[in-house]
Amino acid sequence: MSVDLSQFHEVFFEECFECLDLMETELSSLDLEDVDLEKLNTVYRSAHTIKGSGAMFGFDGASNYAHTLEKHLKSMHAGDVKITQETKDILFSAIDFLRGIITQLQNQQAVDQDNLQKHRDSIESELCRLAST
Amino acid sequence: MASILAVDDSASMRKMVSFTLRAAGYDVEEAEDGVDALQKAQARQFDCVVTDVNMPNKDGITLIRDLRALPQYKFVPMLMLTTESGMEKKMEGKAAGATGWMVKPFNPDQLLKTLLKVLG
Repeated sequence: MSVDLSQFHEVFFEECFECLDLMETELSSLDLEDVDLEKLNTVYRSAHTIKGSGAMFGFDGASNYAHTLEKHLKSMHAGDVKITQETKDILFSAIDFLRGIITQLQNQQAVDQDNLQKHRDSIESELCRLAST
Repeated sequence: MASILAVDDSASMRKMVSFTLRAAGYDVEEAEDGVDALQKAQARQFDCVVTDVNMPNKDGITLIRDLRALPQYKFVPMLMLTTESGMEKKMEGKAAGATGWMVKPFNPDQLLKTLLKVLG
């Protein structure tokens, strides 16, 4: 049986925007002195959803980017890495960037994969640097 | 045709899974998380449960454990959909009572094939 997956793309894009908005809201209200783990878990799970659903529908670039965020959020949630204002700022810029990518996908514009990869590498190295300080 | 409870907090995944199953002739009901699913599973009997793992309110592994504790779901096939290919989550799922699992991403055909296997 053949199922045309493109019929679910619009639901996926809307879901991504909801996840990204939720990540932003929860991160904005996250108290760095007294981290609410449930909030952090919501941020983590939102990145996880974009990763999982993105891979299902063949949006590997967006999925991989979300995976990078998910991985670091998991360490923060586990308490292995302390979350600081600098971490928050990097996450905010990553959320903005990913929102732009999803918008391009929704508008069926070509996504610059090299730029996506470059951005992902820079987010990854920044978050790794912060994790080791 | 068998009745299936499809559980996922991701709307796009849920739509994709339920569309595929309905197109293959199954009678499908959707649930948004483990709490919603447990309630629906008690309101009517399903022949199979297909569930995501990472969900708010109640995750898939806890859902499977809770369902297995109910006499009417003791022997019902339960399929876990996970993004983790690692053994750890699979073993955790198996210990909770999962019949089988599928690693995302998968295509609709793979889902139907695996479902036929767990339905026996």
